[in-house]
Order: sequence, then C-alpha cells, then structure tokens
Amino acid sequence: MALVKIVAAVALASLLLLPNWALAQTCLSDPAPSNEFAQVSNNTAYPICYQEPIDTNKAAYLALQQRHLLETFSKFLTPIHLPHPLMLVALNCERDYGTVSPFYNRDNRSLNFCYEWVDVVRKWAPAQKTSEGVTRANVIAGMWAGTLLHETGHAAFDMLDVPVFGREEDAADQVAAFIALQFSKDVQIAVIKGFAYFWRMAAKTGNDPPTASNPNPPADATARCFADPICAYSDEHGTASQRLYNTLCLAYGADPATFQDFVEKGWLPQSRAPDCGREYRQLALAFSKTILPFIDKEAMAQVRSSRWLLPEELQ
Amino acid sequence: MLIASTGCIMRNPPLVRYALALFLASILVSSSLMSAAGQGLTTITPNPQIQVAYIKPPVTADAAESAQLAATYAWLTTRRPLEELGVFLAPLKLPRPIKIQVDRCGAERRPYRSGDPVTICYELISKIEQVAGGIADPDVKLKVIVGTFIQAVLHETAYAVFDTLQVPVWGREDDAADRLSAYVLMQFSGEIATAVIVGSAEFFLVSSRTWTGSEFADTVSPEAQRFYNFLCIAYGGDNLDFGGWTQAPQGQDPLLPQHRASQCAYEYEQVRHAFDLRIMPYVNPDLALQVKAAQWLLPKELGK
Repeated sequence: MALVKIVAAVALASLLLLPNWALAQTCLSDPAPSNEFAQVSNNTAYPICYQEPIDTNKAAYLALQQRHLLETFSKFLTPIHLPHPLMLVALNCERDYGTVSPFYNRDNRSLNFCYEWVDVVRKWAPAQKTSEGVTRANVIAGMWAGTLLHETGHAAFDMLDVPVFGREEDAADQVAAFIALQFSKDVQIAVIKGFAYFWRMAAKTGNDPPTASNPNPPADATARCFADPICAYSDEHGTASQRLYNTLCLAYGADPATFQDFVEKGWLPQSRAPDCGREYRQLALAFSKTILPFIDKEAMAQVRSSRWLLPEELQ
Repeated sequence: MLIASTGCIMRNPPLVRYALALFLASILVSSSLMSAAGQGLTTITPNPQIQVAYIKPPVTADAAESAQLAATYAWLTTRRPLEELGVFLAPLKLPRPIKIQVDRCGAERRPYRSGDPVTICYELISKIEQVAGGIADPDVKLKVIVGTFIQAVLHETAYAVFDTLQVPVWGREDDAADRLSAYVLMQFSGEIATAVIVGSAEFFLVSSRTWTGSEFADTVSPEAQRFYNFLCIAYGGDNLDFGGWTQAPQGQDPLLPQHRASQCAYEYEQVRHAFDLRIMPYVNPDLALQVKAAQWLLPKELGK
C-alpha cells in the first residue's frame, strides 16, 4: 500500500512538474548521434521537442535533426539562467498558428522554430558560393542562429522583466547580434553575414513596403494592408532593409576593422556607419544592466571557447 | 479630429512652401502652445536642472525665410515654451543639468550627444509650419502644429533623459523616444492625449514620403512607422477614447489594422513597465500629480 502511495505521489509530482506543453505534444525521440553536436539533451532549463513534421516539410525536419540544432542550442543557452524553463520546439506553425515565422509564445514559455521557416531559409540561401563570398551553409547556419537568438531575446525580455523602451522586434534583433558578436571572429562573421544576406535578399526581392498602391488589392485584410504603401508600415517588425542595416551597424560598431568590408561593399551605407560605435555601446549598456546579471560567467566563458559551427558553415 | 472622426488617410497633400510663413507666430503670439497662464502652472517650481536658451537665428539672404525665422524667434522669446517644459519636468530628479535650446541646425534635427544641449531646430519648426500649411481645416491645422511641437520637444528631451539617468535602451533609440513621449502624454487627460498624439500622428501621416533602399539606414524611422507607433501606444493605453481607429467605415479599412491593434495593449504595458522600472524612481509622485492636474492647453488648442 505504501509503495502504491509512493508511486502515485511520484507520478503526480512528475505530472505537476511537467509544463503544460508536454502534456499536449508528442516529441519525436532523439535522433541517433551523427556528429560531435549530437547529445541527448538533459538540460531541464532548455528542454527540446521535435514534433512530427507534415510531409511537405519532412526535409526541413531532417535538416534540423541531422544538425542536432535544438540539442546544440539547448546546450548553448546553459549559462543563461531564466527563472522558468524555456522549451525549444521544432514544429509546423502555419496550420495551428497561422504563421511560418518562428515565435516565442508567452503563454507557455516556448520558443517555436517552424519547419516552414527552415524551408524558406533553405530556399533563399544561395545554391553555391556567391561572388561576395557567401556560402549556402553560411546563410543557413547564420539564419538559424540569428533566429533562435532573436526568439530567445523575446523569452528573456518576458521572463527577466526587461524594460524595453524601443520596439521589441528591433530589440530582439539586437539581442541576437550582441550575443553573436561575443564569439570568435569567424563565428561573428558567419552569423552576421548569413543574417545580413537573408535580409538583403528579402529587401531586394520586394519585401520592403511597397512604394505604390496595388490597383488590385488582395481580399484578405492583412494582405491588403501589407500591399498598401502606408499601411505596410503598421507591422511591428522593422522593414527588411532596416533589419539588415540595424544588425550590420551593430557589428561594425563593435569592431570596425572586422566589418569594414560591409561598408566598402555598400552593404552598410556610409551615412549610418560613423555613429555605429555609439549604437553598439548603448546596446552593451542595456545588455549589461538587464540580462548580464542572469548569465553565469564561468559557464559562459566555457561556451564562448567551445565550437558551435561546422567548418563549412564558417567559410 | 480628422483621422479619428473620418478614418480617412490624407497622403502627401501638396505643400505650400512659406505660404503660411507667419502662421505659427500669428496664432501663437496671441495664445500659447502651453499656456503659461494655465491653471496650476504658476504654483509649480520649474525643475532647476532644466536650463533653456533660444539662440537668435541669423538673417539670411532669403528674405521670406529670414522673416519666418524672426517671427518664430519673436514667438519663442515671448511665450517661452521651453520654460514651461521646465515646469512640466519639475517632478523629475536629475543628477545633472540638461540644457535645452532652439537653434539653427542646417537640418531638421541635430542628434543629441552626451553632454551637449538638446536642440530643437528652427528647421523643424519650419517643417511643421510647412506641413501644416497643406491642411485646409484650421482646427486640424492648429492641432497639428501644437501637437507636433510638443511631441518634438518631448522626443528630443527623451534622449537627454535616457543619457542622464543611464537608462538601458532596448530597440532603436529614436523609437524609444517616441514611445516614451507618447506614454507620458497618455498620463494626461484624454483631451491632451487626443490633441497632442493625434496632432503629431497626423503630422507624420501628411509628411510621409516614399522610402527606398539605403534610406532605411536612417536611425529615425519612416514617418508612417512612427504614425502607427503613436496610434498603437494611444490605443493600447485607452481603447475607449481611441477605439474608433479600429472600426472600419463602410467599405474602408480601419485606420489601425487588426494585426497591430491586437498588440497595442501589450506595447503600452511594455512602455509603462519600462517607465516604472527605470524612470519612476526619479519622479517625485506628489509633484507629478500637480503637473498632471494643471491646465496645459488652451480650449482652442484642445479643439473646443
């Protein structure tokens, strides 16, 4: 009888300890190790979950699984002490959430990394090395890292009660850039370059707000708004070009010598560059006042000296 | 209230350069932007750390421009709006002085630099007049001038407040200055919030231009983006006074689209939270109530 009670108590306790999401979702078992990043994630602060993909996005799931992206990122986040677990989920988003873009869900404290988004990045990444020296692996890794860090920024703002005076979407891009810029030069360049390439492509392919009204506006209200040269600016995100320039400016501001290339090639306009050092210092102040106190410095030193990207991603 | 009552969006009306060169002075010498004689203001001691100056503009080769500058200078030195800002900021405990001045800048803005004065540029005042010149309705015109001027002063001052209090600023600083000034204005009566926020939002709408390519590198956001940021803080702070923006007139879209409107309460709370954490500790709550209770705008400026 006592044993039954103990078993029941343990079962109840484990149920209570499980966040709500775990009761509602089925996670695929951990993939078999295939490279140095593969580890069974036992990080209770950052548990992971790969949900079953729909057939259309199977390749995206396999790409993440083979790279052990969530396991790797869970380990990467270890030094950041959030007051609650942050669940890292890979999933199909469009059907249930009406978006293909990754998002942080405040209601259940989960970072949702969408298979649909993985496919967007894979589609936009160059098939081969560009004349400006950007590789496919570079863009994919840079965008995955940049996006995961961006959503982690939202999670940190929420869970750490961070005062955010500016627009939160820009602030989350700042978190991503700032963290990436604390690593070795090759990692910095890979992540910033991948992120910048993506938003530059987005801007070039018509993702900034339109400059003229659409004579045949879409029937859907949101689509109609984004097709309008004024209403398109109602988006809580910056434009593709703004996101490109904001991030490059922080990189250049942190280390003008390393990122001089971006100014010389015209990726970052001369008009913005001179003040970027000040922008970076302002960000460093905000980070050190509001997030740094929650980072374990010894563990972070270890993370900073570890290898996170594959050789081909660093090219 | 043009944008709230009709929901229609005016886009780039033709601007009449200097057509109303003396408009600001002619209206405001006889009234004021922020009435110095307003009820309650005279009993509040101005913030001793706020120092103000009006730099006399030079005479230029352009006679119309010189006349406009002289008229603006005459109004400034008669009505002394920056001194009223000193009263407005009375509750704020500042560790060191902030100097605020009006000066010729050679541009509409002179970016704030730590230790330098906050500058409101004559060129910006000209721009406000110019944009307002394209508005036919005199009530709306007055509201745009008054609202935009007050917002511009608060916006520029926000930079110095962030710097002086070493406030951590997440996001783009210029947006942060907009959100802070909109939030502060929302602490006043619905009439003031309506007059100033709607006035300045209208300014951003009518002055909006087409942005492309490297123009997006500007640290100041596109006018249309600022327009929605203002609307969102106002609607997020008070969805009763500003609820009309989310209602679609027959056959039209609402001024504030649903996808943004649904986020606005969160955005407003976010700024409130940031303000409470990082600025409120420097605010004298008793003085803040006195400032809040004072009569800042004349009935005419409130659209009465």
